[in-house]
Amino acid sequence: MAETELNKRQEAEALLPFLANNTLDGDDRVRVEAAVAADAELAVQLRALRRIRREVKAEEMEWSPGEMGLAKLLREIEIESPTEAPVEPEVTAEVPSVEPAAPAQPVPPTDSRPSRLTLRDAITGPASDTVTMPTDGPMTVPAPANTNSRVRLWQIAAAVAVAAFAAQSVFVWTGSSDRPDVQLASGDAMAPIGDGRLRIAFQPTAPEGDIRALLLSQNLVIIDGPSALGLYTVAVDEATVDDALAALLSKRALVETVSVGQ
Amino acid sequence: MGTMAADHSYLLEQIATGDKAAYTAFYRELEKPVFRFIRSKLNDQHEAGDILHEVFMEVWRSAGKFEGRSSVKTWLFGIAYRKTMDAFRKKGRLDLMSEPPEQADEGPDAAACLAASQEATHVRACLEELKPPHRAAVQMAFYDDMTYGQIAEVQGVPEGTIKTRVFHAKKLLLHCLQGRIGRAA
Repeated sequence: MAETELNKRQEAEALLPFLANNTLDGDDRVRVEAAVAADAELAVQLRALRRIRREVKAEEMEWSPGEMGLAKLLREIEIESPTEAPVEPEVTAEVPSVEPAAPAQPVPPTDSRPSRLTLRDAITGPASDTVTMPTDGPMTVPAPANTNSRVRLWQIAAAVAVAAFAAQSVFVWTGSSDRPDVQLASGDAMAPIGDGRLRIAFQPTAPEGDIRALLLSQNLVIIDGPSALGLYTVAVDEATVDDALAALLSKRALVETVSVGQ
Repeated sequence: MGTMAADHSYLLEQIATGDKAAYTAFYRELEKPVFRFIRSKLNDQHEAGDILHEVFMEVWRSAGKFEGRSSVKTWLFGIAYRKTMDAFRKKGRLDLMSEPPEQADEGPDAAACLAASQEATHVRACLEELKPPHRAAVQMAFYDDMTYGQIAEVQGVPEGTIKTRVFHAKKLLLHCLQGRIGRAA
């Protein structure tokens, strides 16, 4: 009988921390609460454990990888499983205006946003003027049906250049949609990323938590860095780049320099 | 399932489809508790940072394998626990897994422990003195408010083992607190 009582007490003692963290339920809870009610020593232990729990919870963590850790992860993910753009076998050729394409960036995944502008949409033109880009082997450019235009040849050449670039990284953008994100045609989607990029040098003493709060407040995502010079590249929505710049520059305690672009 | 847990499950489903926005949100939500969890077993914050990186790479690679049999948090902490223990094994610190020798039978003076527990420095110092498996169990119980079943799942051991570990950890903690009051007196 005495041994049974001892075992019951030991069991209650073993579960006491879980009464302190309020996760006991059912029979366990009833048994331990009864043991505590009957044993003053256990009741004092319980109070001590609750105080220890409060101290553990109150303990501040001095540092964590935070946004820098996230940037490193996204870089490695991009290297490990690069977002492969599904290159369309035939790209309509006539190019209204060929802007220098933005360099590849680790961009967002998938989603099925309706107003997405595809490469095909961006490079529009008559069906007869097509550039065939096979997935393997050389790319062929059929002679245009109408040969009277040097401009058209130039346009086709430009389309080839764009298509070749697209073989490495194809961007689609949402045009005038309400989500002007840049996305991979493969559907990858990440945080909002516009055409703009900022390069930021943070103050060496800037706390990570403050950097994180600043980036989150402006919806900015570190997409590269730190460089050898300690610069981080941050993607920014073109529409809000001025606000982002102003916000960054107003935090001199955190931000040493900001420059626009690469 | 709580809203937070449902959110975590949803994010994990999205990550399994290659959604980096979901991955970013998941990381921002859970990076600090996971880092604290790893850090509670290691004295080296840079090594803890490396392990955190491995844990979240594993999340990216294995999100599709999550079957929902446990909570996302338990699943995630389980990965973190295994990675941390792997790091110990690689460095030959296997003794960290062993159970501590039994302490003296006499229980600590509860009143002295209660007095000592009011001093944060005493509590921190005594937590530091625990061996990693015990400190981990205490952290999971007191910081993450896990049940003993969840801790058992994270550490991959039977529930009875966790009860024993927590029992020992509590005893060691209280003895340590009592000792600090004794020294201060």
